Amino acid sequence: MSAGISDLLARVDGDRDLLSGLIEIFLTDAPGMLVDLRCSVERGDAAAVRQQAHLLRGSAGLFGAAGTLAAAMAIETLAKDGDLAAASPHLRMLEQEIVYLTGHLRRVIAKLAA
Amino acid sequence: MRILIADDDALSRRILEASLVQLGHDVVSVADGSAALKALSETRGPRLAILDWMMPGVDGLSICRAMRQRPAPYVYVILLTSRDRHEDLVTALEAGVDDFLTKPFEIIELRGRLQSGARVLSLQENLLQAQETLRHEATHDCLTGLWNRRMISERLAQEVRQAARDRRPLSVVMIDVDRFKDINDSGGHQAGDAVLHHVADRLQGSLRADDRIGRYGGDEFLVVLTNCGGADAEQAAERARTAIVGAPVQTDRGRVSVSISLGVASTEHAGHDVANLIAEADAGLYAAKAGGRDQVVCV
Repeated sequence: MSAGISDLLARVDGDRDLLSGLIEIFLTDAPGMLVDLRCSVERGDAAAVRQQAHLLRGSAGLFGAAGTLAAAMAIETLAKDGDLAAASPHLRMLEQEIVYLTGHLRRVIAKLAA
Repeated sequence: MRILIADDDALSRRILEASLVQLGHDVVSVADGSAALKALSETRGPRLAILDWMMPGVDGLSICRAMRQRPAPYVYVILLTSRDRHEDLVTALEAGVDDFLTKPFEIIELRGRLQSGARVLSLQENLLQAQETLRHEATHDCLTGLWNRRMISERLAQEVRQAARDRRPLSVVMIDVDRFKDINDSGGHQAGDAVLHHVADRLQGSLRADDRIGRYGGDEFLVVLTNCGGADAEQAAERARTAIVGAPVQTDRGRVSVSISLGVASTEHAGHDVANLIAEADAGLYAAKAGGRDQVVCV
């Protein structure tokens, strides 16, 4: 579940331009961030995984996306403990959640523009 | 206020930028720690920094530690943290972090934390200014604005050591205002002060950029001429004498003619020894007074 448009606006003091700008940054950056994360997991680079999951978690938190947040946090915690072997299912979950989230945010942008 | 934001998270950076601009601040925004260090090292760089704890490469704590290791100016550091992560706040405080801001934050909280920061920075600014004022008062003469006796003596000792190392000559000139007691007695202390002020200005104007001057006593001045032998020093003293005698001083009670007597000593004769230099310059000054004042005597 992600936050609705009024909830999202409340997080930025009702600044519609800022909200659109933030969503656009996320829509642009998120696919690349996911690719980076998957590469780091496959490479076994725990430090990079931790960092990249942390970034995604920050965005998820901002947009009130609980599912994305939980998956990113699980990966971040595993990376912190050096247990990347267990990260794969969480990574698939995260990719799925981000698909939902980007779809949701695209609709928000369309409503903001309307 | 100019504020630095260092955060690798583009969204978080954008939110901070927008919030700070809304609060009327001037924002410098960077995406990594190295760029943050560079921005903070600039001469008139930001004095308040909002740093993300987690950044690849140089993280927020490393920036903070680097800031705390340098002497001045002080940078107030607000560290960005996440609400759901149990970060080690003690480590952050030990690294020198001043305050924390938990993401996501509300703008009202950001404003409050910035106000605390501005208050600390302004206290620190006042302290530095007070320190600078005290330093100035401890080293300068309040009437003439010249160095005081302590400062010119310290500088003389330094210059003599340096001249000895470099095997270069150095000269000193001891200067006394002629009949200063009479000026005070007839014109009052205000006239005396005006004369001292005038003599100080004129002397300073007659010196080279590298020469040093201080008020050594009531109506005594000491000039240190670096890289200058006795013959050149005598000429410099003569220029100073004519600069004074050629210009009467305007006081509340009319124009007062002023002259000075000067004693010159140099390392060529006195050796690289502060006490000898002062004693010989004093002797020269004494001889100038005995010889009828308004003259230079080189020992």
